[in-house]
Amino acid sequence: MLTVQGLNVSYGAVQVVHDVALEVRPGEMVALLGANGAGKTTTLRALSGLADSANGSVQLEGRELLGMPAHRIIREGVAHLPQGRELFAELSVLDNLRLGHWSKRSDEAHLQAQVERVFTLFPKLRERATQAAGTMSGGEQQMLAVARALMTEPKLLLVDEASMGLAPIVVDQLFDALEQVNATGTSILVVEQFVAKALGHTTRAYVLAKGRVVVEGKSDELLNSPELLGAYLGDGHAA
Amino acid sequence: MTRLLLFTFLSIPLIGAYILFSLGIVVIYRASRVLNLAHGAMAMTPAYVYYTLAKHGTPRLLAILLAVAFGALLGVVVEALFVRRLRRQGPTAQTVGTVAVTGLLIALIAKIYGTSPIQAPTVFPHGQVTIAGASVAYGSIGLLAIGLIAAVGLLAFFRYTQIGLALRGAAQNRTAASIVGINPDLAASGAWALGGATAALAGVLLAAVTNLNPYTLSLEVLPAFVAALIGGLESLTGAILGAVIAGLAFGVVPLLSQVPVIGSPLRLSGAPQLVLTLLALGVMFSRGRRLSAADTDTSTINTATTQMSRRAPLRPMTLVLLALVLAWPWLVPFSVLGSSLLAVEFAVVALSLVVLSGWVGQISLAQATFVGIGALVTGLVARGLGIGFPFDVIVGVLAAAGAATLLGAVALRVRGLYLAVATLIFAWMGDAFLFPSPWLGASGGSSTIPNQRIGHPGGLVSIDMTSRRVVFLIFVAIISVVVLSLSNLRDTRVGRAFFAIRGSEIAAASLGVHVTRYKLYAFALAGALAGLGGGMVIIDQRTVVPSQFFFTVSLQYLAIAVVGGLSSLGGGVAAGVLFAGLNELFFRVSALSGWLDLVSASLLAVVLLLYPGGLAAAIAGLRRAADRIAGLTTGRLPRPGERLRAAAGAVTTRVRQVMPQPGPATAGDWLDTLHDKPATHTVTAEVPTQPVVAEPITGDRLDRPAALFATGVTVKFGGLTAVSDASLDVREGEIVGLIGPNGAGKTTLFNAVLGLNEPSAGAIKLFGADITGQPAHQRAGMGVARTFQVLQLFSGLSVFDNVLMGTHLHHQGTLFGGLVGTPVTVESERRCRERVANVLELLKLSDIANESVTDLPFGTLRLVELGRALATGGRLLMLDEAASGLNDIETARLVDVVRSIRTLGVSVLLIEHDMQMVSAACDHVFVMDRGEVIAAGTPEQVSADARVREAYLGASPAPSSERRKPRRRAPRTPELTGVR
Repeated sequence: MLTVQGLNVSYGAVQVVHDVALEVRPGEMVALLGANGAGKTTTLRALSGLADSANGSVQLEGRELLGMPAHRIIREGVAHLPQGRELFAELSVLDNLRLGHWSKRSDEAHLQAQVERVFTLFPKLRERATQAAGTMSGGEQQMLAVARALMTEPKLLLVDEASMGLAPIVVDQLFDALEQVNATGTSILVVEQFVAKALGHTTRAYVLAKGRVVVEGKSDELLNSPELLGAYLGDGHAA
Repeated sequence: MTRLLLFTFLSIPLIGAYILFSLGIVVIYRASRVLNLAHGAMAMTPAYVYYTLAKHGTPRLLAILLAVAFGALLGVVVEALFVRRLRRQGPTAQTVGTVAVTGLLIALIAKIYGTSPIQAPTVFPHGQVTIAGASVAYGSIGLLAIGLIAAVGLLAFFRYTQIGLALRGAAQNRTAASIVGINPDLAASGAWALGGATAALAGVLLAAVTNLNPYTLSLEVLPAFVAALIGGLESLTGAILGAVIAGLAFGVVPLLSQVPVIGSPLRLSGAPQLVLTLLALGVMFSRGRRLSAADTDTSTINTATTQMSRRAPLRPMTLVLLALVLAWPWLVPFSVLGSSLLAVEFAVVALSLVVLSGWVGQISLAQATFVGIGALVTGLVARGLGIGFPFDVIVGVLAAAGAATLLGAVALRVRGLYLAVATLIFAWMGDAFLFPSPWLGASGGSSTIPNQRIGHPGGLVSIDMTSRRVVFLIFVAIISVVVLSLSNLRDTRVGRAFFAIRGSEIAAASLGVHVTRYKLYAFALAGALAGLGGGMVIIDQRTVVPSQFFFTVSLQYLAIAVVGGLSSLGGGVAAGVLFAGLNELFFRVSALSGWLDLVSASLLAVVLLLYPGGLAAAIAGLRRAADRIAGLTTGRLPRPGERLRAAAGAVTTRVRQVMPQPGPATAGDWLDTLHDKPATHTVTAEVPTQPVVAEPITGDRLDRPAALFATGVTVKFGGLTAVSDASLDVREGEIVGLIGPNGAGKTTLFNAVLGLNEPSAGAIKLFGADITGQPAHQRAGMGVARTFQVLQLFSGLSVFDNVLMGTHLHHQGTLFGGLVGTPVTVESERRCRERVANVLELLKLSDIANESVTDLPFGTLRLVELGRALATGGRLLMLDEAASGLNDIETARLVDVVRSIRTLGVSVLLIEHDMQMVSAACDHVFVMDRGEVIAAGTPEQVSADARVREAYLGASPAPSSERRKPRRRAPRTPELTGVR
C-alpha cells in the first residue's frame, strides 16, 4: 500500500536520507530502526509532507504523495504521530480530538462516534476530556497524540518514537494500543529506538544507518541478529 | 458616582472602536506573531471606500458591508504580500513590513482624497438621548453597541465553531495544524481577514462619528495597542477589558482633574495618555522573565551581511568625496543647502536605528519622539538658560538618552515585540502629552531659539552659527565623528556584544554577555543619537513645532534606516542623503508634487521584499566591482599567511590599527594568555609544550576537586517532569559524558547547569561556588563555556570574528572606550585578537580564519564553535551533541581535540547519544533514562550495565531473563557513586 523508492532528503546543504526504498503492505505493522541521527525521523517527515526538500517517490495505493503539503497528505489517509507529539497544548483534550478529525469534514454524529472509539481505546482520556493537553503527564500526552492521529481513521499510521521518555509500563500500553489499531486494518510504520520492543510487535523491519537502508528482514529473525546490533549501537557493541 | 461612570462609559464612542481594534490586533498577533502596525491604516482605507460608495448612492447598509468585505480582503492581501513573504526573516521584519503597508495606504489615500478632513455620511441617525442628566449621541451608543456585539460574536466564534477552533489551533502550533489537515497559511489568511474586517467596521463607524482624514483616522488605533498590551497581547477577553480601561481613561481622567483636591497638575492635555502609558509600562514590568532555553534565535531583519574586520582602505574616491562635501556649501544655492542640512539630520537619526535595530535587533517606533525631546530640550536650554552651542545640544542629547534608557529599562524586561509596542505607546504619549506641554516647548508646544543665542561671536564658543554654510560644516564634522566612533565601537567588545545579541541571545549569554544591560546600552546610544539629530534640527530651523516629532515621523525614520540596509553605517548615511534628495526633488519638480510619500513608502516596500540589503548592499556591490577592476589592473593574489593577518588586524579604524603579534607557540604560553583574567581558580597543572592527547586519568576521581557538582536537580515543564532528582559531577581535568536515549532529559539537565531553565529543586555548584539561580551570563563569567547541538555561530562573520566573540569576558573595553578608542580598549582589543589567533592555531583553523562561516563545511563549523567556547577561557566546557552530523573522520578529529583540551586544565562535560564517541573520549559517564540518572562509571562499566542496555534497547536482545529487571534508583550523591 505504501511504496517508497529512491527517497533522498536534505536539510539545507546536508543530505540526511539517501536512496531509501521501503514498503508497507496492507494491514502490516513495520518497524524502521536505526541509531540516533540515522535518518529515521527525516524519512517519516518526508512521507507525511513535513520535510522541506525531498525527492524520489512515495506512493500510497498508487497515488504519489511526494510534493503534496502535509495538510493534503492527511486527507489521502496517512496520519503522522510526530516526535515531540505536537499537540495543541493550550486546547482541551476534546478540542485536540476535534481538530484531529478536521480533515474529514464530516458531521457531528460521525465525529462523536470517532471520539467514542478513541475514548474506548484510551479510557484515561475520557476522564481528562476538558483538561488542557499541555498540563497532562507525558504518557497521557502520548496517548492523546495517538488518539488524535486515529481520529481520521487513517489507512496508514506513521509513528515516530512514541515511546520517548515514557515509563516501560506506559510503553507497553502504547504498543498494545497500536496492535489493537493495527488489528482493525490500519497499516503502521513505527520508528523506534527500543529495538526489542519494536521487533516484538512488528512483522518486518528496516534498519537505517547514516541515511541508508542497511538491513531489511523479518522482525523475529532480526531480533537476535548481530548485524542489527552492529548497525544500531556501532561496531564496538556488535560483539 | 455609578451614574457618572455609566454616563462616562456610554459617552465614549471610542470604547466600541477600541474593542474592535484591539480584538483585531490580538487575533492577528496570535495567528502570525506579528504586531500589525498597519491596523489603523487598514481601518482608515475601508472608511474611504464606504464614503465613496455612500456618496455615489449605494445604500448605507450595503456600503458598510462592502467596506467591511474590502477590509477583510485587504487583510488577506497584506498577509500574503508582506507577512508571509517575510516570515523567514522573523517577526521584526514582518512588523516593519506592516509599517510599509501603513505608509503605502496613507500615501495612497492622501493622494486620492487629499488630507483635509471630509465629513463622512452618518451610519446612525443624528440625535441624542439623555442619560444620567447628560446627552449622548446615537452614533456613540451605536458604535459602543456594535463593538460589544462584535466582541461577543468573535468570542463565540472562537469558542464554539469548528473553524474558530481550527484558527486557534493553527495559531498555537503550525506543525500540529499541518498534520491534522489544517492548511496553516489558509488559517493565517483567515485570521487576517477577521482582523481586517473588524478594523474596517471600526473605521467606518469611527469616520461617521468623527471625520475622515488619512492621518488622524489611522492614528485612532494607537490606544488599542495599549489595550491589547494591557490584556497581554494574546487574550481576547484581555483585549476587551483593556479596551474598556483605555476608553474609560479618556472619560474619567479629565473628570478627575476637575476634583479640586487634585487640582491643576492633571489639567494638562494628554493626561489620559500619560496614565495609560504608565499602566502599560507597569503591565510590562510585571511580566518580565529571564532568558530560557525556549528563547531560540532572536529573529531580525535580514539585512546586508554584517561587515566586521573588513579592509576598507582609503580610496581616491573617498578623497574626492571629502573634497566635494567640504566645498558643497559654496557649490549649491542656499535652498539646496537646507536639504543638505536635512540629509545630515536624517542620517544621524538613521544611524541611531542602525545601532538599535541593525546591530542589536531591537525595533523602535519612537525615534521621532527622542528627536523631539532632543530638539525641545536644546531649545529650552538655549532660550531659557541662555546657554549656547554646543552645550545646549549636549543637554538635549543627554535628555533624549535618559528618556530612552528609562523606557528601555522597563520594556527590556520583556522580550520580542513587546519592546516595539512599548516604543509605540511611548511615542503616542509623547505626541499627546509631552510635546504640547508648555513646560517643554513654548506656546502650543513650538520652540524657538533666538539667533543671538546660537553661538554668536563673543560667546563661549565663538562660531557664527547664523551662517548656514558654517552650520553645514559643523554638521558634517559632527556626523563624521559619529560615524568614526560608531565604527570604532562596532569593532570592539561592546559592538560585538550587540551583534551577538542580534544573532542569538542564548549564544550571547553563553559567552558572558549581560544581554539586558547591552540592550540598554544600545537604547541609550540610540536615544542619544536621535537627541543629537533633534539638536541639529532646532539649530538648523530655529523654530520647531511638535508635529515634526509625531509617531508617523518615527515610521519615516524607520523607513530611511531600512532602505539604508539597517546594519551598515555607510548605508544609513546614504539613505539620509537619498531621502533628503528626494524631498528636494519632489519639492522642486511641480509635476511630482504630492507623490513623495507614496514613493518613500514604495521604496521601503521594495527594499523589504526584493532587496533586503538596501543601499548598503548596493554600495558593497559597487565596491566589489571597483575592487575587481583594480585587481585586474594590479593582478596580485594574496600570499599565504596574509589572510590570517588580514583577518586579525587589517583595519581602518583606530582600534583595529593594532596588528596582533604572532601568537606564542606552546600550549603553556597559550594557556597563560587564555587565562589572563582568572576568576576564582588558577590552573596549575603542568602543561606540555605541545597539545597532546592526554592519558586516561588515574586514581580515584573523587580525590580531585569538583569542577561541576549538581545534586538532586528536578525540572518540570507544565505537567511533565523532565528531570527528576538527578545528580552528577565533573572533576577537574576530567572528560565526563552524559548519555541516554532520546527524551531521557539530558538536554534539560544540561540547561539547568547553564541557567537556561528553572529547576524546582536541587543545587548546582561550579568550582565550589553555589550558582543555583544565577542567570546564564553570570555562569559564563564563572567559567562555564558551551557549544550548541544546533550550531549558533554568527552567520556572515568570518571564523576569526566568530571566535573573537568569545573574548567578551576578557576584554576591558567599555561603551565609552569603544566609542573614542581609549588606550585600554585598544590594548585589550589587541590582546583579544592575539588570543583568538592562538585558539585558531591550536585548532588548526588559522588557514581559514578569514573565511565566512557561511561557506564552511559542517564539521569545521563544529570546531569553530568549540574555538569560540575555548576563547571564553571557561574551565568547564560543555558540549551538546558535538558529534551529531559529523562523519567518522570528523568525529575522530573532534575526540582528539576534546582530549587535548584536557591538557590545558579544562574539564569537559559532553552530552552524547553516540556510545562510540563516549567510549573514545570520556573518563567517566553518567547515564540518564526517563529523567533519572540510572548509572555512572567508566565507559566500559556503563556499557556492560544491564539497565543501560535496557534503557537503550528497550530490553536486552540477548537472553530474555535480562528483561524487565527491576529498576534501581541512582545513588543520590555522586561521592557515593559506586558502580565500579
